[in-house]
Amino acid sequence: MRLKSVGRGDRLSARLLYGFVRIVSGFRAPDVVRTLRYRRHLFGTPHSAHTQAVMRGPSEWSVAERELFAAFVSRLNRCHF
Amino acid sequence: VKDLKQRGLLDDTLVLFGSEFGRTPFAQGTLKAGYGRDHHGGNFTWWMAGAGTKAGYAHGETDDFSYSIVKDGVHIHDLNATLLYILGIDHDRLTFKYQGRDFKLTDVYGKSGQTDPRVAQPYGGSLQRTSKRDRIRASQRAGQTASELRQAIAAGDPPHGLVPFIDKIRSQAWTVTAADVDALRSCYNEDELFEIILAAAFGAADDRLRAARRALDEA
Repeated sequence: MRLKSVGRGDRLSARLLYGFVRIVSGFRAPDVVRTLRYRRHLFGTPHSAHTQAVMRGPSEWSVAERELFAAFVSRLNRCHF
Repeated sequence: VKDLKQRGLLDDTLVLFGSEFGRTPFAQGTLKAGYGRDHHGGNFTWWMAGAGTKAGYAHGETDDFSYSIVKDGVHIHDLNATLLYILGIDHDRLTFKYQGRDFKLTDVYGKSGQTDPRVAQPYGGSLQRTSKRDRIRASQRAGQTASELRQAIAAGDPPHGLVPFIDKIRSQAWTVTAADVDALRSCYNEDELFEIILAAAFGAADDRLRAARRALDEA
C-alpha cells in the first residue's frame, strides 16, 4: 500500500479488524478493503452503496452478466479484484 | 475564469459566453469577396462558468453538421429561466409592466434547470438547520482538497504539476509506482493524495462509462 495511512487504517475499529483478519485467516486484509474503510464517509460508504446498486440492483442485465463485465473491466485494468 | 477562481470570486460570479443566434455550417451565396454564413436559429451553443454551474458538463447535442438538435435541446426561454434561477430569482414571479400589463422575462414559457440534478443548485439547502450529528457526518465527508481541484482532476484537466501522475492513473493505473506517489509528497499530504487519486480514478471510470453509453447508443 503506497499510502501508509490507508494501509494502517484511520480508526481503531479498522485496525482491530485487520488484526482479527490476520489472526483468523492468516492473510493480510486486502488493500481493497483498506481503501474502502479509510475515511469511509468520504469514499467507501457511498462507493459501496453505488457498487451494490450497480451490481445487484434493478437492471436489464443479469447479475452474472454484470459480474462478467466487471471481471472483463478488471482484466483490462490488470486488476485482480 | 482562472483569475476569478484564483480570487475566490467564481462561486458568486456567473460567466456567460454566447450570442443571440447561430450561424449555418455552410456558406451563404457564392464564393466571392465578402461571403459569409447566414443566420441560423436552429441551434447554437452557450457556455457558462461559475455561480454553482457544473464544470465540464455539456448539455444537449447537435448532429455532426451542427444543423439540427438531436438531443436535449434547451429553448431560449428555458435558458433565460435557468439564468434567473442561478441569480436567485423566480422567473414566474419577476414581472415588469409594459403597455398596461405585467410581462415575464420568460413570457408564458420557461423551465429552469432546477429540477435537473445535473445543473447545480447554488442557493439550495444552505439555510437549513442541521443537527450536530449531520454536521459531524458532513465534516467526515468533506475533502481536504478544494472541490475545484478534485473536479478538475476528474475532468482530466489537473493543474500542471499533477498532469503526468493523473494521466498515468487515467490511462494505465497499473504502471503507477511508489516513486510516482512519493514525488508528490512535498506538495500534498497522504489524505490529499488519497483524494487526488480517487478523483482521478473516478474521472477515468466516468469517461469510460460515457464512452460505453455512446457505443451502445450507436449500436
